[in-house]
Amino acid sequence: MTAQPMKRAIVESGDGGLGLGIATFIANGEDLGPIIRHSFESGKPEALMQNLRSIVKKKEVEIEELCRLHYEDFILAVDELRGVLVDADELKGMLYGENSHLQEASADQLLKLDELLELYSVKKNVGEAITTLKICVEVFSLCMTCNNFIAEAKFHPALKTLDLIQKGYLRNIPLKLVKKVVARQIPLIKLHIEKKVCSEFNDWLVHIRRMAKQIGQASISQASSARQKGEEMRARQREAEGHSHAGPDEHLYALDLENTEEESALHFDLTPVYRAHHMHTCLGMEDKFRDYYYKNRLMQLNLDMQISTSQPFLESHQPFLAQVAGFFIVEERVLRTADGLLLESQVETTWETAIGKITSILEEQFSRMRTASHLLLIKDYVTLLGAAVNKYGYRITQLIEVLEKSRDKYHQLLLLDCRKQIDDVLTNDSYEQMVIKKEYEYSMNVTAFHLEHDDAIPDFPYVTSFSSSVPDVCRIVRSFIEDSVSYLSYGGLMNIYDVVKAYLDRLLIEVLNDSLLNMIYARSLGMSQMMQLAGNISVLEQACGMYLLHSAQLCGIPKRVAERSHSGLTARAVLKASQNAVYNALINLTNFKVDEFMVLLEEVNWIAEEAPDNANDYMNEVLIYLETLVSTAQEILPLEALYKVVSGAMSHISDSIMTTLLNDGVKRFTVNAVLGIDIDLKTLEAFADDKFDSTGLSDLGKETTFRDCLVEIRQLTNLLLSSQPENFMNPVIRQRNYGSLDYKKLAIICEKYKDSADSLFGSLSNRNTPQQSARKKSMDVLKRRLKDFS
Amino acid sequence: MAYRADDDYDYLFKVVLIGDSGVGKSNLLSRFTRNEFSLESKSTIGVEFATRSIHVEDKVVKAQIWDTAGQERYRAITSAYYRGAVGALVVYDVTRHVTFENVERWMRELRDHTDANIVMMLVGNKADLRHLRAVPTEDAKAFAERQNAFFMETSALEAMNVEDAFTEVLAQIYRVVSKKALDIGDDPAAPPRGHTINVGGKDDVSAVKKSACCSS
Repeated sequence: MTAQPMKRAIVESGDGGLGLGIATFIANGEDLGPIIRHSFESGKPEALMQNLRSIVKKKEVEIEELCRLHYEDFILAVDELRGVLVDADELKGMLYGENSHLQEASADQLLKLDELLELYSVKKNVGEAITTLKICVEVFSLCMTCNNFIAEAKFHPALKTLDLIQKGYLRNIPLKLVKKVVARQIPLIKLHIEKKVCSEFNDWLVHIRRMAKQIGQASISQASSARQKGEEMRARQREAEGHSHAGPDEHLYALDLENTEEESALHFDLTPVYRAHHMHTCLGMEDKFRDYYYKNRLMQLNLDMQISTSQPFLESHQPFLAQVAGFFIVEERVLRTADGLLLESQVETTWETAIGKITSILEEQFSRMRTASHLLLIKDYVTLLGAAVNKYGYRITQLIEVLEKSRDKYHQLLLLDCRKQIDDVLTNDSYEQMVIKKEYEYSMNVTAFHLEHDDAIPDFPYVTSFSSSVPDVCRIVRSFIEDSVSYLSYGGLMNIYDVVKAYLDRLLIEVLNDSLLNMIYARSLGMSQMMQLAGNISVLEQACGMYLLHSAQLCGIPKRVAERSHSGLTARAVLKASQNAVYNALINLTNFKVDEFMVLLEEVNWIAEEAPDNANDYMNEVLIYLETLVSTAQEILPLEALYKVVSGAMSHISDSIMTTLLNDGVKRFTVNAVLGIDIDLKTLEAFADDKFDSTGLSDLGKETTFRDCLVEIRQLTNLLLSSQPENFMNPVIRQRNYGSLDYKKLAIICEKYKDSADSLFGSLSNRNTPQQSARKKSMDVLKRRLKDFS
Repeated sequence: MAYRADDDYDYLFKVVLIGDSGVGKSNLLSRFTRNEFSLESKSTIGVEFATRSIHVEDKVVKAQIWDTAGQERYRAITSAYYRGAVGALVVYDVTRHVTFENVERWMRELRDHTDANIVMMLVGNKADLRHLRAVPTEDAKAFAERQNAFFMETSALEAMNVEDAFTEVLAQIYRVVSKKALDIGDDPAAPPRGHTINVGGKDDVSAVKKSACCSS
């Protein structure tokens, strides 16, 4: 808008036009600055000045006109104003009067007013005091509440109250002294609470340490009960298998209702731990408490881990292990429920340390133990401990390993113990067949070990084929199997059958077989006793089957599976070898005995003048002995063994006679002596044939008979008694009739053969017969030819 | 009561503190003589001793208490350490069973080097650590009875029974010394002093010990 007026000014050329514009501007109240500035800048201000003076004149004329018009009104107004002034003076006087009157009347009221103002001031102060006191009362009230909570040991609300005081009121307490006291007391109270809570927690530590053993024992008892139920179940299954021929067994499908019962939980109170942890968290000291808990529990564990030195480990191990188990059950509960108080890594580290210490203690104690049952007792408790803590998530690998390491030690002690027992049994045995008079005796000694093939009860009295050491040994072996299974059960092994078999083999080979061999070679047993020992070994070898079945049964392997198994005990072969050893011992013993009788050969009159009518004395003795031998052996020994023993004896007799004829003890013998030997042999051969048939050996199809064992001496005798001994040189005849004779032996013996005619007084005798002469000539021919051979 | 100078006393009794290292002997001493406890577990080097006077039956008894290192390497001071001692506190740590097991050896050594009338107290320290206890109170009490010694459980940390242990030992020493003074009255060389009380001799020491109640 400002710019446009400038343009108009430039466009208008006359004064009248410019003046009208300026007047319009002034009337509108617009700014004249730009116009004036333009005038002076253009160098023509006179025109503008004239216009302005012109406007001034016009305005003055207008003002004078206006004054003339209003002059009358002005005069009237002045008069009127003068009248008002007079009225005001009157009113002023009246007011002064009223005021004096009012002052006079209100003096009393004024005093009251002062009092009122004073009271208002007091009221204000009292109000402030009340406000202040109200705050203080609230603070004190909270303090009292806090005190009551502390007195009642309710520390959490006490802390809450303390917090409320500290954050909500402390800054606003108007009284400085009260504020200072409260501020000072708050940390003291917190410290007091901490001490109280710690004291309560320490009481809990004392309590839980005392309780830990009970907790551990209860947990281990639960594990023991569970194991017992398992055993009962397996026993039922074994019974069911035993009656499998009766048809499907209901037991196999029976639901065991006991198993559905939940085990009663171990009851112990962790409330003080939770309280202490929570309180320390509220106090802002959670880390401190966590550290305190961990350190003190670790110290408690270290104390618990010190085994008693005044008490044997056998007595102290149960409370010791129960204490440790209880400790870790508590820690597991704390870990699960105490919201970060314990770290899993802390519990695991503590457990690894503890179990390492337990295993080293066990290793040391096991290495010093001398009784297998002690080892078993501790092993059982250790496995129960393992089962108990494993349920709470603790790894028990190290425990299993230490038990496996001590397995050999345990079995070594068992074997040592069994060796003593078996040696005692074998030493004290009378080696006579058992005579059983009552059924329970039969049941205890025969049926229990399946030593007879049929299970029928025989008539009493009953004579067994074995002596009393056999059932005694079977009892020892069965106990060994049970003790072995007891140790290996609940260890790390899943299939313990192979391990049990291995140890059983060791028992039977290293202990039983060695003891049997010792008895065989000890030369302390007589003939009948040795035969009984041989019979015993035969029965014991058969009993290996029973041992295997018993082992399988205890190891939870079904009978059918065990029976079908092809792998047997190595001990069976070893015992069979020992049977051969005892047979050899029997043969040696028999031959030794025979030698005692064959010594009588020296008493034979080798240069008898006449042929004897009966057998020589030695042969009678031998036959009596052999008769006894066969009748005893027939009852005890298997036929194979009987055959070996008697065959050996026969061969030995034959060899003995041959040896005697070959020795320097006999320098000459006559045909009469040979006739005597012939009588002896005929008697012996008759015995041999009779026994070969009566014992049933002929039914076995043996190619070599007892008589065949005497073939050498028989052929020699036949040759010496032959009318034509020179026929020996005929190959055909020799092969057929004298096949067992040796050239050299025959030469030596023939040289000793002297006819009675050659004696010192032979020429005086007139008993020579033509037959004798012919035999003499033939013998001379044989002698010469044999000499040529050598 | 009239003011007495610090060094004014009626009896001066030497009391020794013995026991394994780390059972708290020094803290027992500092708690009794200066009412101080130090959480630092610094081992005592050689021998330290401190004194404190107490009142026993209107008599001022000054206790000179000797504290020693429990380690083996300071054993050379044995004879000098024990010489003249009339009382002993045999200290073990209730949280370490081995320290209790060694008490018998300490007592044997004590008897080898001191008078037969020495007043002996078995002290189970650190009793405040109830959650770490390794020596049951009954075991220690029974052992003390067998050894004809007094028994107390203490806590130097909490000042529990410390004052009582020392004052009890000092009181018993005073009684023994008083008995001895009466025994002197029977000496023919001494001048007669009216009626003489008949005493049984050394057996009374055991009677005094047995009659005292020293439960913790």
